[in-house]
Parts: sequence; C-alpha cells; structure tokens
Amino acid sequence: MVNLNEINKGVIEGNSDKVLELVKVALDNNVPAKEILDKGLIPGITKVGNLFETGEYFLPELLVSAEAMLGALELLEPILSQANVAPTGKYLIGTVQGDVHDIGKNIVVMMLKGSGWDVMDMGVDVSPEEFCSAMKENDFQILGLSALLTTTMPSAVKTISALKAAGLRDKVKIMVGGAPTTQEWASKIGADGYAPDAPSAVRVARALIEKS
Amino acid sequence: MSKASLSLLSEEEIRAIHNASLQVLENTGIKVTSRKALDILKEAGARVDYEKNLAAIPRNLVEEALRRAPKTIKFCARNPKYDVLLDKKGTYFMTGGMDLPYVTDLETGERRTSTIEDVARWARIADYLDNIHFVYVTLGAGDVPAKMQCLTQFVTTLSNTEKHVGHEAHSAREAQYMVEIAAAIVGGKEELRKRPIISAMQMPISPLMFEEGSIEASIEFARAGIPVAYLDEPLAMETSPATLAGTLVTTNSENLAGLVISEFASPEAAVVFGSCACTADPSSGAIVESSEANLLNLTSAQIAHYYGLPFATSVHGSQSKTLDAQAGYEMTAGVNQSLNANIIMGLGVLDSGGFGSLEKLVVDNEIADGALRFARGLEVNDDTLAVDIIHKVGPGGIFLGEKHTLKHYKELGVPKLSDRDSFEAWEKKGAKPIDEVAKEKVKEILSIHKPAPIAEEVQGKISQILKRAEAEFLKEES
Repeated sequence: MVNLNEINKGVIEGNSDKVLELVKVALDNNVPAKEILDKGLIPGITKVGNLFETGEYFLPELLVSAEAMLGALELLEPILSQANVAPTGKYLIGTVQGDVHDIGKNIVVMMLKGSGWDVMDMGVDVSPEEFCSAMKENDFQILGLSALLTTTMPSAVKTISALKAAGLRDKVKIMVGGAPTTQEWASKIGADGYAPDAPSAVRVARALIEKS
Repeated sequence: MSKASLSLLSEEEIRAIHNASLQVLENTGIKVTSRKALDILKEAGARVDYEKNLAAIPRNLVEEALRRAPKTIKFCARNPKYDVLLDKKGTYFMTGGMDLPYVTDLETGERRTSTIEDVARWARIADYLDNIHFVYVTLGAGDVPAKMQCLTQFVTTLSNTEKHVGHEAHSAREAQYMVEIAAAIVGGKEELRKRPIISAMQMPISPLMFEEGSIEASIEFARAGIPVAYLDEPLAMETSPATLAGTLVTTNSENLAGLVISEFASPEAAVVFGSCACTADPSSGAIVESSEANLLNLTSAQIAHYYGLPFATSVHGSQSKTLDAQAGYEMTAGVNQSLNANIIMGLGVLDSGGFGSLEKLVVDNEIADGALRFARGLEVNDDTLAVDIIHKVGPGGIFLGEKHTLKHYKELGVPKLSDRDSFEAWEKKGAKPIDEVAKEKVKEILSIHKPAPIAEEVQGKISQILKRAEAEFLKEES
C-alpha cells in the first residue's frame, strides 16, 4: 500500500528523487492522480509554506521543495487534464513592463502549481497590451502582477488601466506583489489582493476565488 | 597614500580563483546581448553563438587583455589640482550612485523625489568636502524627462564641481554625448584623451551577463580614452554562488570578460576592476550588506591587485533609512573593511542606495577622513623615533612645549565634525546629535561654497549638445 504521507514528507525534505519514485509507485498502484495531488503533494507544499512563514525554512528550502513537487506534477498533469479534473483555478502571472526580476514570481508560480492551480507564466517585462491579449484568449480567475522596482510599479497601474479600457477588468481578480509593494499601494491602485511572499500569495489567491 | 592592505586571501587562493575564472570563461562563457560586442569577441578569437548571445573566452585572450591593460590610470578634473593618478595603491572616495530617485529634504527631513536642483546641491557639497575625491552623479532628477535624465544630471554635476565626475551610460549614444560634453569642457577629444575628466561605472548583470546598452557604452568609452570601471552587484546565493569563493569567481570572470571586450575594442583601454557584492536575505531575497559583503569586496580588491589593476567598490551606503547609529556603524564597517579598494563609492546614501542624504554625505566625509588618516600609516625614521627628545624630556616629563612637538603635532589629525566637548558644554550648545550638526554644516556649505562655473562659451556649446540629444532621445518617445 502506498502511504501518500511519505510523498508529503519527500516534498518537505525537498527530496526530488524520493517524491518522483513514490508518485510512480502510487500511479502503478492505481491511486487516482487527483488523490495523489490532494493528499500527497498539496499538504506537503502547504507545510513547507508554513515552515517558511515561521522562519524555519528560507528561500533555498522553499525552492528545493517546490522543485521536488514540480517534478511530480509533470507526471500528474497529463493524467489530470485527460480526466478533466478541474484545477483549483486559472492564474495568469507576469513581471510588469520594464522589470526583469523574476525569482519571487517564480516561487509564487511553483507554490500555486503545487496547490493545484493552472498557471500561465508570461515571464518578465510584460506590457499591458500583452497581458490584455492573454486575458482575451483565455479565462483566468486571477491576474498576478509582480514588480521589484519602485520605478516599475507604475507599470502595474498602466496594466490595470489597460484592462479597464479593454473591458476586461471585471473578468478577473488582480493581485500584486514584489518587494516595494504594500497593501496600502495595492488598495490605492485598485487591486483586489496583495501578498508579501509566496505562501501568503497562495492563501490570498484561494480567498479571492472563494469570494467570487 | 594608503598603506592599508588587509590580506584575507593567500596568493595560492588568489591563483585558484584566477584559474577557476579562466575555466568559467572558457567553458561556461558569458551572455552578451550586443551584436557589436559579440563581433569584437569573435574577431579576437572567442567562440561565439549569435543565436544564444553566448561567448566562450579562451585564456589566451584573457592573458592578452591583462597585458594590454594600463596599470596607472589618469582621473583628471576640471581643476587640475584635483587630478589623481589611480593605481593599485592609494584610496579615493566617491559619492554613491546611481540615479537615486529620492533625497532627504533639508527642511522637513522627509524623503522626497529628487530634482535637478538637488543634483546641483549634491555636487556643490561634494566639491567642498575634502575627502571626496571623485563625484559620482548620485541623485536622479525626477523633474527632467526620463530619457534626458542621464545627460542633464551629468551636465549639472560637471557644472557644480571642479572635481572628477563619474557616471553610468545606458547606451552607446548616451556615452557619445557624454564624451562630447566632456571634450567641450577640456577643449577637444584629443585633449580629453590626455586628461579624462570623466569616467564611467558600467554594470555587468550577475551572473556572467552584459546588457546591450551598457556594454556598447563601455566600448564607446574605451575608444574615447575614458576610464571604465566594471562594477557588478552579485547577491550571493541568488545571482552568484552561496559560497564566498564562488562569488569571487563569478565577479572575477565578469571583470575579466569586461576587460577582454574593452581591450579588444581599443587596445590599452583604461579599465578598473570593480564589484559591490552583497549577500541575499534568505527570507526575502533582498540585499544584505554585511561583513560578508565587505569581505567579498576586500578580497576582490586583492585579486585585482594580483593582476596589477586598480579596484573600485561601493559600500552601498548603509541599509538604515535615517542617519542613526546603524548608518554610522554600517558605513564605518563598510569603509574600513574595504580599505584595500582604490575607489570607495557609496558616500551619502541610505536605504542601500534607495535615496541620498546631504547630511549623511557630510558624516560619511568624516568617516572617510578617519579611514584615510588610519590607512596612511606612520613614518619611522630618526626624527620620528625621537630618541633625543625622549631623553631630553625624561621620565615623568611633558612633551607639549618641545620644538619637536611644535614641528610635528599637526600630523596628528583631529576629527572635525565629531563632538568632543564636555557633557556640560555639549548641553549648553543645544545637546545636538550628529545628524543635526551635519544638517547645520550642509546649510553652511551651501551658503558659502561656489565652485568655479564652466566657462560661458563652453556652457553655450554644451547647451547645443543637449539640444541635439533632446531632439534625438525625446523624439523616440513620441
């Protein structure tokens, strides 16, 4: 019998090989992919997020654990989409125009994926027009904007304006993040959510879709 | 002249880092998003992949570049009395950088957007302070159109100080305009070659990347005879390895790569090695200035000196948001733990380079003064050993009235800004903490100090140059 808790432990330990191995065994034993995700991976990455927030885990641990989990997700994703399993939600994310910083954003992406989200990462230096195009072509519940420079924070404002002008603002909840950003600024520019780090971003994202 | 030379790396360790760097350059290579720079590298003999913008640099190119690099570099000034001959000895201080958007308001003490007026004031204060040898264009001018900020700030700084001015160019065109402006001041491009009154700090992007605008500016400066310092800013554990030695390897590789590009763009180009390393906060990924950062800068200097080259660093300025005890101790640690460096930048800056503070510039000048006097060492000879005088004064005697004392006592420097009064006297004078004293000093300097302006006809020429730049740069915007 496959103990899905062992997979969780592997994620918490950041042991990619162990996690991959155990997931394969679970699949071979006909454990449904959704169950592996819900009971074997998500609790693990959630625990990692908690350890980060209490200051026991730091960025290196977060990244290594997220890598372990992503390896497993790669195996599970094709099965999940074939079985038409609904993701937690659909999330569009990118670093705003003029900004090429992405480490924080990448961690958010990993944590979201690990929590069952379907994430489209547009990379860095994404113009308001590019965000709008992506929004038009797909249905996303949340748009996440990342900015690490005070000089690129205005690009987030421009993006929100562009969405309004294109009639897309009401179709999505907007979250912002990045070192110089604050809850105060997020409220001021009309964003729906703000998070200071990746684990809380996942919580805020969930809260935003549960509200709507 | 500085005698300070803290050695925290043995020669064997330096050689290991050198060899590791050669391996990195040969096998890992660098990324250069500039066709022009890649062409230079290809022609020199590097292995270039134009599609991926990668270049692998074989060691013979590095060795040739090191041979070509001049070991003494002129850092001249509008006023020749401020001219400096930079080499691997000696320590010079420079204001912090770059293009900081905010400054503390002298009246309210609040942090606010910096303007072109602030840029001018900054240069005047730096011009006055004895221990600032080079003036970096620290503050940005928020009231100037973005694309003209660099050049306008540059001209304003040159106009308000007679000392050597440093800046950073973001494109080949910007660099060309900067050269034109400096040439107008000294009387022509050939004169500028002989007396470079400006230099540039160009930043590679760690790890191992050179961005198009920055490296092409570097090439322009090399061809115009303007010294360039390659100043990277690796964040150990994020954009460089989590080990200090590994960070020295990526930094050294970036410096050597920059050197190769400069020397093959223009043989005998003046290049200063540089770095302002920090570590990354393990929770947030943000910059941490620390002893580790200072250690990295000091040992990077050792490596540059191994090649015979001068080294520039920045102490980031202090992470504190106000002129408080943290600002004091971080700055003092940074300056004194970096004394191997030949150029120490970062004076006058708070919040790790988030904003500038005139008051802090005055305090940092005091810290620099102490550091320079310390680094000067002392002279040992028959006169200074003073055996005769010691005999004359005898056990229990006093030296104060001796002619020998009169001859030498001024060599004992005295801090100018720091308070030394008795408690009662200090209280009577208003019980002022150092930041208040510094603020008063700033106001005093601004009221009395007027650097010599640039000659009127030259001002006219510069205006014309700026108009052309405006037409070119602002047209692109619309």
